[in-house]
Amino acid sequence: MEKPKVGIFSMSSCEGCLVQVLNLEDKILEMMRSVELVDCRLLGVKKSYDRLDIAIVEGAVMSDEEERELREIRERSKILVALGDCACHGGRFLFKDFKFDSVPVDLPRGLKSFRADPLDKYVKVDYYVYGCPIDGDDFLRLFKELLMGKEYRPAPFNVCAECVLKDNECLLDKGIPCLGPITRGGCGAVCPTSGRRCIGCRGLAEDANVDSLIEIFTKRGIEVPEYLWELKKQVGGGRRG
Amino acid sequence: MERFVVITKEDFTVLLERLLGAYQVIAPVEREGRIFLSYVSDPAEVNMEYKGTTLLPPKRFFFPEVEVLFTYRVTGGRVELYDKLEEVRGAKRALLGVRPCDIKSLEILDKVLIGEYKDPYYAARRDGTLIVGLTCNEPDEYCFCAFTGSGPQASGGFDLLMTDLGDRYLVEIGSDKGERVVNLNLDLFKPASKDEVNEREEMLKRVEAEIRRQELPDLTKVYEAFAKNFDAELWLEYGRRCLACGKCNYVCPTCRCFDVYDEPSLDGSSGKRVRVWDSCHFLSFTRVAGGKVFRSERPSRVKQRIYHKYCYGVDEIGEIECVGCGRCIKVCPAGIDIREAAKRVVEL
Ligand code: SF4
Ligand code: SF4
Ligand code: SF4
Ligand code: SF4
Ligand code: SF4
Repeated sequence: MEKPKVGIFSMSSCEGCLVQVLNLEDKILEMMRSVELVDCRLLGVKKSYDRLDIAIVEGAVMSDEEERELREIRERSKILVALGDCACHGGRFLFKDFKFDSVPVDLPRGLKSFRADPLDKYVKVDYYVYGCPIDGDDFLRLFKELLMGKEYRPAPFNVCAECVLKDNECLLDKGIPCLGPITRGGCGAVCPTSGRRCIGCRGLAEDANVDSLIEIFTKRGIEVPEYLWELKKQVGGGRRG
Repeated sequence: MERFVVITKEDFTVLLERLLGAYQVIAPVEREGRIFLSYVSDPAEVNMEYKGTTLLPPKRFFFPEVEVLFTYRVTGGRVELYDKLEEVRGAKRALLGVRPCDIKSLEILDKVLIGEYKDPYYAARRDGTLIVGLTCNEPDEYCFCAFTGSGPQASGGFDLLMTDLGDRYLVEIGSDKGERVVNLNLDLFKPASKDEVNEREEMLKRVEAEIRRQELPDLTKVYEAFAKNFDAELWLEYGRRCLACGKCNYVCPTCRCFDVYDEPSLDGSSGKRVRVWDSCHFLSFTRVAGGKVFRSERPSRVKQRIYHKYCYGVDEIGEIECVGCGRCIKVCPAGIDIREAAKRVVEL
């Protein structure tokens, strides 16, 4: 059987998610034995190829050039994976201000405005690996599922679920504006477990209830930050029936 | 053999040392002012003076949140299985400081997991574990076991049941296994006097009276009220508040829903089957092949949990499945209080 052809691409990013992948060390080597890597700038691989089975794309779209490149990748690829928060959501986390779509600036390469768009603003994304940076094990899981021809399912719960299993004291009870209740889990609640609030780096949970979180903040005397009001406009109470 | 014996607190430390020699001991420990159940190796770690409940219930020591059921290896077209049950079977453990509500929760789990279908992993762990209960000298603000018929008295389900009488413990022997422990350590125990047994009854009455200061209905008899009010407005209100985080399910001593998945190695030549806790508040809980989600609306998920506790349990195992431990109330970020919900339903 022919090995699946894989390409790894970067839009605008810090390449931190790719570093997470490379940090898998011997596992990444093993992984590369099951596939044919045909394109990866970071590893200096550039073979000639026509079609890709799996394209892994990291980073946000910040220029027309990148937009063109992304569309081209999509056309050649059977499966396209968005890797990391930049690719999944434009690198905004949840706690950032959602109001900007494009900020006028003078950038090198003749760019006139700043934008940071998620891949799915332009092309269809088949799978998302969330997080800033991503979790190496999540990526490994995705990879195995794809090789077996299965669906990859990201964690179905929010951060609180993993947090309570760590026997943590809830930060909300201490008046700290933790975003765990509306943030997609799978990170093992690393931030709350080390006493820092969740800032939503994995993006909105599947069934995020922003209305309720605002109510909870208010009830506990936690000031409701601007970005939550913005999020509320977008998702409100989620699926409430 | 007497049903009641006493042991001084000093001698209890000696007993602990002996137990540590013969068993893997799980006991309440305190870290940063919070109480956990944990494996211990030193009597000094054990805290038998805690109030109320541990954050996570004892179920995780019988039905862990992540559990490898078996591993497999494919060699020359043959699949070899290695069942983890073998490892689970050998263990000899003692679980100390279990509250009456939690003792009751294990009895409920037994009915479900060693009932019509037998979960061998759970059953093996239950078999190999000595249960040493501890009655409450003081409830915490979330406790309501007196209304669910599961405390502060414990009527069974333990091997030994301790009560703190100040400088000593009164110990009730609840099984042959428990009796053996006492017999093997006769130098540490004395028969209990009538007064000491009465002292425990007085204490438990006091705790019960304190819990009963909350005005709640008899929660073992709310079935009809719930059945009538399935479409009541209040479920929409709870649904609007619920964050679908599932913390309430994870901390509930009787919730035991799980998901199972396979984790193959990269080349597919080996792998493992894993079982993890699930929660009926997750959208994925009722997602079936093709992507349809049966309980996509949040009120229906809130109802699933609460109805399971007060109605479906009665249908399935003949009793309610809430033991009044209050953990779900303590951890809910949205302040959803199952006591209050039940009271409101009864008053509708
Ligand atoms: S600390 Fe944050 S993540 Fe943890 S339970 Fe509380 S709100 Fe959820
Ligand atoms: S439903 Fe809540 S109070 Fe009842 S047993 Fe479960 S966690 Fe305890
Ligand atoms: S259905 Fe929900 S409430 Fe019932 S046992 Fe499962 S997780 Fe717990
Ligand atoms: S619910 Fe009852 S048995 Fe459980 S800790 Fe509270 S008082 Fe004790
Ligand atoms: S803990 Fe509260 S908010 Fe979270 S799922 Fe349970 S009821 Fe909903």
